[in-house]
Amino acid sequence: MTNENKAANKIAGISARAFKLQEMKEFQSSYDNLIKAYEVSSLAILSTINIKELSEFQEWKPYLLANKEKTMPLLVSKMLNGDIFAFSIYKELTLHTIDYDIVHSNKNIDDELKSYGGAEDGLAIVNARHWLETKESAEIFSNFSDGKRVECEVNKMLNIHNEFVGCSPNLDN
Amino acid sequence: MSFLEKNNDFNRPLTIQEKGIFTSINNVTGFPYFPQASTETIRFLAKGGEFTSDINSPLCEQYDCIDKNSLIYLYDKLTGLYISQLSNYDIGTVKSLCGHKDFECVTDIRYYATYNCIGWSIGVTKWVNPGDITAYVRDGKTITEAINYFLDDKANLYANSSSNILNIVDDLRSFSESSIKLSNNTVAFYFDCNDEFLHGARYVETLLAGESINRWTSKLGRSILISHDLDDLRGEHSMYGDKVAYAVVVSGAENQIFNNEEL
Repeated sequence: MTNENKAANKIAGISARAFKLQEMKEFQSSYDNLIKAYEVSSLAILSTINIKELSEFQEWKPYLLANKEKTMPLLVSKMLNGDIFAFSIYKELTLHTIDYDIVHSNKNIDDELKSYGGAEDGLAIVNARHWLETKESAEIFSNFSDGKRVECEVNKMLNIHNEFVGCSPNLDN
Repeated sequence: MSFLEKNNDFNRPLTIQEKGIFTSINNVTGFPYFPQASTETIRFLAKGGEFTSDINSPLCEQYDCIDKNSLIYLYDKLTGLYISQLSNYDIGTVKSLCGHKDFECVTDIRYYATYNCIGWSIGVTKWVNPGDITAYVRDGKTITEAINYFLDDKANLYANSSSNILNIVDDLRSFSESSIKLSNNTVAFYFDCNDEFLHGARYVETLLAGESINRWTSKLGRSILISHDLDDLRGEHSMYGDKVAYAVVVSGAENQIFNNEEL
């Protein structure tokens, strides 16, 4: 299991704790239905996943936005596992997106993408990593009682520094 | 073994449902998705992917496994509160806990092993976003330059990677000529009037140990692999745009000379 997989599990745990059973079941069911709807739509023949074009997504989007503190960590967790559908949803919920324009203009990010295989699943992982550096991430994790601890553990695991979270080097805070 | 090799209905006509991929009306344009497609002559070559619930499936080694998050959440049935993740537990424990009357598990396991058109075109079993090429054009590169930057980048990554769909990425080179002499493994990149790259197709003479094809072949997003005429998928109102640029296979030596000239 890679550090990205381990970090994904920790982050998913935060969301799972925030969701009650019924809500988690509904989330997974909606996610599953979204993929099924995508699969039978004309969008399935495109090489870029445009989840925003799907009416099922537009119907679900208000819920995802209204519950961003729970849904975003779950999506980021999926992205750390290379889920390009979660990445497509993520792009509709945040302004913190790294696209190929940025990849080509920033050698560090380009190298980072290459280290994750250079394809779309790798870009999903890169985006998840960079979201963990944002103020949005710090604010979302701060909603949870142990959010800061988990974020600090995850960031250490992934060698990420988020300037909006005060993590002590020994993670005692 | 690739989807192509596992295939029992290789090179068959399209089913009615598959024809619908091309003839359904695009609500945005009011035209069929592929107005020029001749669905009687387009042939099915292979399915586009495969679902598996097995995290250790070799499919996920060969292809990009979408949705490969394999988490199992354990909840208290009575209170609805989350207890733990079971992802790292052995199967027996997971079954025992998830089957317990006091608990309920929510699983998040659904893998779809697949690749896309650009992956097929250059011979890698990856989901390679054509937006990667478009970004080079947006940066001021010509179409030919953009394709070659993209090919160089991917060749560096994938040239030596194992592939079960005939890896050619390290031998491809785009030239500015608008017409080319068609040969085995020529690649056509489709783009629209805004120079947005949308699709890649690959001309193949044979597939599957000598099966004669002599046609363009395309993986349609996460959907099926087909053989077709170049114009079937293009057009003013086509989902893949109307413009096409080519890349052809050059020998290693020629490629080296080209690269040196570029420098």
